[in-house]
Amino acid sequence: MIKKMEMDEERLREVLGFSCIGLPEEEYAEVLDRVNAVLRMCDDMQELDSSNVSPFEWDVMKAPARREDIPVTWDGRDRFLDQAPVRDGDFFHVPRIIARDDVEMEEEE
Amino acid sequence: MEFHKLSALEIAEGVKKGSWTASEVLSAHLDRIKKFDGQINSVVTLSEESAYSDARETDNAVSEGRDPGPLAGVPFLVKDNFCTDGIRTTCCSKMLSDWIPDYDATAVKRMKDAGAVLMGKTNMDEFAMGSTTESSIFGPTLNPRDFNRVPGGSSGGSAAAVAAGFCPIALGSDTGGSVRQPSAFCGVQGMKPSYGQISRYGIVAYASSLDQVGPITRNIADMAAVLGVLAGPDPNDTTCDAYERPSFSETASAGIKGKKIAVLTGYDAESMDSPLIEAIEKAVEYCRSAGAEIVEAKLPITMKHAVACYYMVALGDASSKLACFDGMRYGHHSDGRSLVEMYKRSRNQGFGKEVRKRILIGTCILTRGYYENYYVPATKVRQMIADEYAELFKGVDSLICPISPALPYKKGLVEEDPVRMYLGDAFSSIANLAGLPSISLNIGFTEEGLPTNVQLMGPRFGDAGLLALAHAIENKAGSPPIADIEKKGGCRE
Repeated sequence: MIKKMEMDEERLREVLGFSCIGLPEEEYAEVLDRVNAVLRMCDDMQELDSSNVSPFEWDVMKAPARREDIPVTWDGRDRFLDQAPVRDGDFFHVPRIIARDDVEMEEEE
Repeated sequence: MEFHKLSALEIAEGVKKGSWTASEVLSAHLDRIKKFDGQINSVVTLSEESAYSDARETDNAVSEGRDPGPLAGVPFLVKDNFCTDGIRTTCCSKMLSDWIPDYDATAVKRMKDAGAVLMGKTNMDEFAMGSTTESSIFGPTLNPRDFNRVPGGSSGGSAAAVAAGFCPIALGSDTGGSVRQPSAFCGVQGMKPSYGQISRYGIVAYASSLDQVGPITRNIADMAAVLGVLAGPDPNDTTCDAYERPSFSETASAGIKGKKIAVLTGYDAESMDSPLIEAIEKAVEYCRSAGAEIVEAKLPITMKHAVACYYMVALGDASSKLACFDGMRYGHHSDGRSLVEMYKRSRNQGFGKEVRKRILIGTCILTRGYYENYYVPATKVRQMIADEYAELFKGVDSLICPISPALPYKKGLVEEDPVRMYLGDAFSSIANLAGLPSISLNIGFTEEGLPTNVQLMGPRFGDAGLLALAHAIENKAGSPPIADIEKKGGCRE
């Protein structure tokens, strides 16, 4: 069954949450226009009869190549940790999962 | 010696014979980049120290009688989404502006193992999301054939660098035309090999089911040599097929006598720039005179639905792929009072405007309602497009069609009309959807000096036959010259 859909502001707010992306209020209209233009571009596609067609899948995914499961000694730990935004000794420093209010926030760009 | 005018194979031959050294060739190319890249901004990072070290290693191999490899001393550049050991890999985004990988992508490693010398990294649209190379944090790249126009994208820096004579070979990645469209715009040769031909290990993904590594060169003989170096299975990329490859350099000169070549019809030719229609007519004539049989082909499902299908699949893939940039393990980080606030601030500040919008559209497509009504139908239409091509290639060897409906765009168009930019991918994205090999081949230039071109496509893993077709047409059309960048002056700070 063909169902043409448009995105509205309420749904956009929901999607912003899913994608962990923020958007200034003044850009909402522009983004909604863009999303809906892409959806309209795709509306015709729904009119094709694809009821007997399976979704596309790469043949390699059906039987992926295998490699030997051999342990390899790797000495790149420090180089990886050096790339961490915040390093704490031999660990990646990550934020608390429970919200806190003792951090001084920088201004949002 | 004007080393920048030599092909990759000529450079390698001279290095092996001792006519010149890899260090001399490298020095000449680096000088040229420093002198002229200030005008077009195609190179974002130069790795001079490691390049000279690699060149000396090649020179030592030659002097000691060891095999220096098929691409001995050939300088090359790679798009800034290829991981390079000890050299920053930014995807031209603030998100990765300081990130230095500790390993080489397989494609980079294979080039180095073949004796080629990595000089640095090229400009690109942020995270490969664009077709103009205007969204980079390093600023836009300009087209070396006409500074008022874009070089195409997203591998615009790689294509512009080859056209400007900064290197005879550059590598790019192609998700929906990102190697071939900039090659067309800059007047060089670009290839997207079959899906599964080259390992993507170490390439920062845009959409994994579409991405492929592709070479950009100024002639097809160089392209065949590079493909021979890059192609082959890799235990680090299970999508890379294990079939036994032919010698691409040998098969590229096999000719096309008796081959059956289809020309695409049934699209809106009147909306295209007329020099590009004339380029197809010329290519067809060249094929006929080389002994090929020409037939017409219509691909109704493809022509009506490919671009919509492509954007559904690519943006859906991208939104999930780019979820890994969370500000914790690497990349841009901004603190927050909660985990979610930290994610949001890091991603908001790290990603540019176009990338954020594409992630949003992709996330939307994967949410309830839209997934069933848009994403799933797109995956089925993708299968129908692949079937349409499989059927076509039962009866013909290759297909000739446009790569882009337009000559290189004037700067700034993407801001004015982003959806028009999307429609520009209508021809180029097909090869990615169906996993086919495709070459963007230069056919000449307009009176204003803008490059004209055609797209050649073949059956999956028919890369060798496609190179033979491209070589046969290039023999008639000639390989493109280096852009006349010297006359325009300029220097890099």
